[in-house]
Amino acid sequence: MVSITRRIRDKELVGQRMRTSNIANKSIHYYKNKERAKVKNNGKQISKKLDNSIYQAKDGKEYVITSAPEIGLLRSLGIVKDKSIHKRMTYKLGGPVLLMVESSEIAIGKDIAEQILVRG
Amino acid sequence: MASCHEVKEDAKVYEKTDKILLMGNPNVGKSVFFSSMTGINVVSSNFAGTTVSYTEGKFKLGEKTYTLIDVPGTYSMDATSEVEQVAISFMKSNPLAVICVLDATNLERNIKLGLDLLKYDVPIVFALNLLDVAKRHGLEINAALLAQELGAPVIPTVAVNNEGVDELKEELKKALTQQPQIGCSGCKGCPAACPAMKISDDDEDNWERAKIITARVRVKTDGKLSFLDKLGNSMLKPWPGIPIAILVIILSLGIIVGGGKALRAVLLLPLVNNLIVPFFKMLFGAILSEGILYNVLIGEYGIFVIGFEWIIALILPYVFLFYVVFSFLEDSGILPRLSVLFDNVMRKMGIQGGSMITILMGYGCAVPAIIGSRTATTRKERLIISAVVCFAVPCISQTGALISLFAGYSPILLVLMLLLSLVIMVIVSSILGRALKGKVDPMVIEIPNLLLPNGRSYRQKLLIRMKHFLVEAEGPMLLSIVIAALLKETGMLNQIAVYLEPIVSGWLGLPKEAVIALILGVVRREMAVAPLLAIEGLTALQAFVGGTVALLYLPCLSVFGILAKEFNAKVAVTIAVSTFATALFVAGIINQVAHLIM
Repeated sequence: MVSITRRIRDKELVGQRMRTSNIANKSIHYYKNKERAKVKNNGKQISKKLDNSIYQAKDGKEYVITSAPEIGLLRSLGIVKDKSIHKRMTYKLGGPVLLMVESSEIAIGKDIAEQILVRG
Repeated sequence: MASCHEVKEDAKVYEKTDKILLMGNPNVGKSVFFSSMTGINVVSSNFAGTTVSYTEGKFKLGEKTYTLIDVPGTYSMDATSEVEQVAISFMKSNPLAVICVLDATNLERNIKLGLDLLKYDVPIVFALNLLDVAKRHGLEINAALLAQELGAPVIPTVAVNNEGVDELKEELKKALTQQPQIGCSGCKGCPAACPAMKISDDDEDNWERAKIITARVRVKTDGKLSFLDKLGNSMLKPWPGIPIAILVIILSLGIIVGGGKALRAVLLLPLVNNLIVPFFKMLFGAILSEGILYNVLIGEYGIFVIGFEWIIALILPYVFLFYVVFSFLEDSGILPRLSVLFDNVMRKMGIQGGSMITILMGYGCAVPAIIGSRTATTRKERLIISAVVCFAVPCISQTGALISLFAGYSPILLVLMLLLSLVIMVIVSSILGRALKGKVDPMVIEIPNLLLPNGRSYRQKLLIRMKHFLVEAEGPMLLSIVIAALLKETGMLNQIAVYLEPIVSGWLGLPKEAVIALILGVVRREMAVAPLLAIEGLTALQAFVGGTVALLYLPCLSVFGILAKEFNAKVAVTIAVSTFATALFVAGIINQVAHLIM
């Protein structure tokens, strides 16, 4: 819960930055593939912009990983929290994403790429 | 991949007391070092996961002889696949020393593995490899400073050019005789991995440490990308990557099929028909009178007749050219690019793009493909890959025989056979993807640099593969030829043909002589095709039906054995029964439907 709330950045609907502690008791429906999370606050549903998944992030830009799934191979390849990566492209029709981590190019399947959250 | 039909795995290797381990990330050149140091040629390729089993060899350092183990590549010391578990087991088996090969182009990740290895308190010498590629990418590394940071010797190397190998051996010799120096008091300039500083058990700490060390020792300069680097980048983009990929596939097929036919017609057929076979006929004709022995040796199915015709003139040219092309694709780094481009298609088939490399290996021989499936992260994926290879991927010997079979008809037959193979592949993987329990992990693959194959390694690889084909495949082929000759000459073939006539002639519409193909196909898959070539008056439909039976027929004895070893007997029997039933069913349906239409 806390890790998800940390990912929430305040945007146009609320107009001020929300501290994670303020929403710790709110249920959050986090939709994979979506940039927005629906946050229930006293029954009122509001929409918050989450960090992008690397799958949806724009091509050709640098990003910092804010969260990555606990997969040994990913960790071994250096896809870990706080790591800077460069996204080269997303392949169409459910193909992988292509990342540059240091000097190495790594292709990551859609299902995993959707779970890697980035900012930047 | 040590060889074609050989998987050497002996638990006793862990007990050896003179072993030195060659370790490192996948695709950093460990196998090249191994060949260079031991003189034993092993197959290495330009993508992760070439070595899925260990290889051992003896090598001398001064007066002493040691066992060098080429350990499968590992990204970390947390087992993320079966292959990595092997690496960990070796590290825990008290080796004398470790040569850790570092990839200079991906320093941080490689240093992280180095730190993981330093925890084991075993003397380590680091080989900083691929420095030429790093330089091209604008990366300069201070090897002396890196050695200071790691608290262990670091030797700059370019393994494919044999640069730095002697220095590495020299350092290894010192490391084996010297005690590690421990006694640093944690001074200001203390190396990040000083032996006195306990390497953290926390993975994140070690990542942080690797990052600090990398920042200290690496300087980024203005690299100049070569033409190959730029081409490698272009091949990863759908445009122009997909057209280039299609061109590569067409060109590869052209070289194998066209080149094979030319080689056969111009060189091998005249050699066999005008020189070798007449020589043996003359030789045995002079010392034997006509009879069973005479016929077994030089009759219609004579060992010295079809032994040369089938093996040398029919199969060898295609096998040779397949390995010429495939070894080039492996060493250049084209295959992982294909697997990325076609991952979306493969996902729809129930597997991931990375499996494409393993399946393509099956076009050479199913055995290394099944062993290579160890790189898959789940059993379900391994099973799907192995089943697809057994069902729908003809090995190169069989492909050669099929090309020869269809050569007398329209080339459309060959195209149709290829399409049938693809359809069966999609059906098998889709069914198994849904029927088998478990999951198939999405692709996570590192793309290697696009390289021109190193001449020496490339020649060695070709030599190893051709040697294995000649030594290991020829034995069973000759055995099946002896069986064919004996069955023919003793009259047993006719008796069996009578029993199987309802299937062979009734259901499949083949001449009764084709029964020999069904019998020999059990021993070797190409032998399910080759006898059809000897049948005169075979129609195009019969050739296609016969080819279909052969394509989908039983895995050969070697494949059956490896399935039982890698999985279990139940899996091997299930695949064998399924392929056998599918072969007869599909080929029969094609025959029956064709007769209804025509």
